Amino acid sequence: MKRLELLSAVAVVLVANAWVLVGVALNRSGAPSAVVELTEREAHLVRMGEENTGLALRLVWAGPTGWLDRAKLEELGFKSAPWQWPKPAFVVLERQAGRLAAVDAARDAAPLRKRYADSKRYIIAPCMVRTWWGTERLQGDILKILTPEIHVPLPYSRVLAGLGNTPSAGNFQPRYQLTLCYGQRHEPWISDCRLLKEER
Amino acid sequence: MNDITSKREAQQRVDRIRAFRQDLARLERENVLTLSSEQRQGLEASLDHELEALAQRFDVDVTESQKQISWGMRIASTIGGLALCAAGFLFFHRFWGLLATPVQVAILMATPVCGVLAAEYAARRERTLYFAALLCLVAIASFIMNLSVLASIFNITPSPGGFLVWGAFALILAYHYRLRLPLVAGLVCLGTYVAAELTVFAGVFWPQFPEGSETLIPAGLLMLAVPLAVKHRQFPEFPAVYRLAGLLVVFLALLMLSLKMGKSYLLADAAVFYQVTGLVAGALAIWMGIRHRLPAMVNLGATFFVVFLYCRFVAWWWDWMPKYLFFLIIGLISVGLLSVFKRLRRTA
Repeated sequence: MKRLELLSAVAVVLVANAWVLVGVALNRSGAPSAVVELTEREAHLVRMGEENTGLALRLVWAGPTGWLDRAKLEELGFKSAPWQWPKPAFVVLERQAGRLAAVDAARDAAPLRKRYADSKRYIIAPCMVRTWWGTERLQGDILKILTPEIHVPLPYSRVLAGLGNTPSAGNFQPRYQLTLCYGQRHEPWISDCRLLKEER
Repeated sequence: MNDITSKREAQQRVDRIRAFRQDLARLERENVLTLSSEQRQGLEASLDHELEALAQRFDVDVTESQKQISWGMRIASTIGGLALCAAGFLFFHRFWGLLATPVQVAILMATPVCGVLAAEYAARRERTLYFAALLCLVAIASFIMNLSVLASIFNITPSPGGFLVWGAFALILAYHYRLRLPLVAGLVCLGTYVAAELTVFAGVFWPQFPEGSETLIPAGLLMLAVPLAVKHRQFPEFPAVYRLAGLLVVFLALLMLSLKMGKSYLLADAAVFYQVTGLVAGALAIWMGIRHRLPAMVNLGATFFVVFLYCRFVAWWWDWMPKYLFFLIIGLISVGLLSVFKRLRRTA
């Protein structure tokens, strides 16, 4: 019995890890739902402190401009009430000239993928939508996307190793370019990363 | 002595023997009772033999100084466990960027397994289980780090499932080694999982469960129900942990809702309802605690009853009443509560 308890503790660890890894494999199986070329303008370099050697890129995107109106909020499941809980949804991020912009949202990803079929231009990412009552009408915003930071694995982290954090504001010359993929479960990964000519 | 099965029972027996010896010495000093030298020798030999056997079998504290040192060891093992967890976490962060993904995954997976094996090795070598407890904490923290970092490496959308497996893992270790700290860790994780799933059921994104404190109440009630549904004959110290953890979760959730720090899914204006519910729950805990002879339940119930009551007083009177009068009333009410508790204590 005692040995069985010990084995079950080890089994919980192994099964949980296997579950996660199978999920990762499923996400990355088949054709990616998006394969988008980005530069440092849309994916800022984030160092996680002096004692942390891990690197991540934070997606930078412009919020909704007018399209997240009352009708769209109702479509997302919100009512005309002064205060409501934020809701999970999927947002479409479009790669425009030098930036990512939120252009649409829905409760499910499938209709969005049909509507925005160009996988080199559009990313469909899980997000949270919030509302507030402003100037006597319901207003909404994308509170956050759920995987805002993307881990940079080896060998790509070596490419970015010598670079400092991306400046938080101002117009800057991008130092790197990357290929970002989104899989079947709308989880991203970096499939390529290279320095731009000026940084080599 | 054969009916003693746990270290806790053995320690209680040792404490009773020590108290009996002190009482006997006092009675002899006051000439109330005098033992013949043969009787004394026989009694002392029997008690010494029993103490020796208990110390050998359960590694209990036979003297007062041993007991004090044991407390020090318990504190040291808790702090040591936490420090080791922090060291492991920071060490991994210091080097993980230099490792390829398969190596990262292998290290993350191996760390909690090694923690379990090390705890088992320590448990087989020392009966006090101080090192085993410390290594169990390390194993639990490693498993939490394992799945959290894995989610970060593969950019996985956060889900509450991790809390379920962390809770199951901690509970297995708690029952395997009969340790209360892993049990508390397991209950925290499982309580979080239940609250997060109920939050999803309410149509809200799960990381917001701390804001909607109502979902914590069923989690706390489930913890309270465990000792009623499952008899812990081999683990007599565990039901108290379930009860206290459950009550604490329920009371904290009620307090947050009553102070409008948490939002209600069920009622538009829930604060008044939860203010009354908090007071009733506090009184109910005191009554149940007295009825079933559970002093910790009485203390926790009394503490939260007073907290709920004083929160109301602050809300009703603080703004308009002169401060000296406010504190005078609080002082008088405290004296009144003391006399009520005193009467309850007498009847208990």
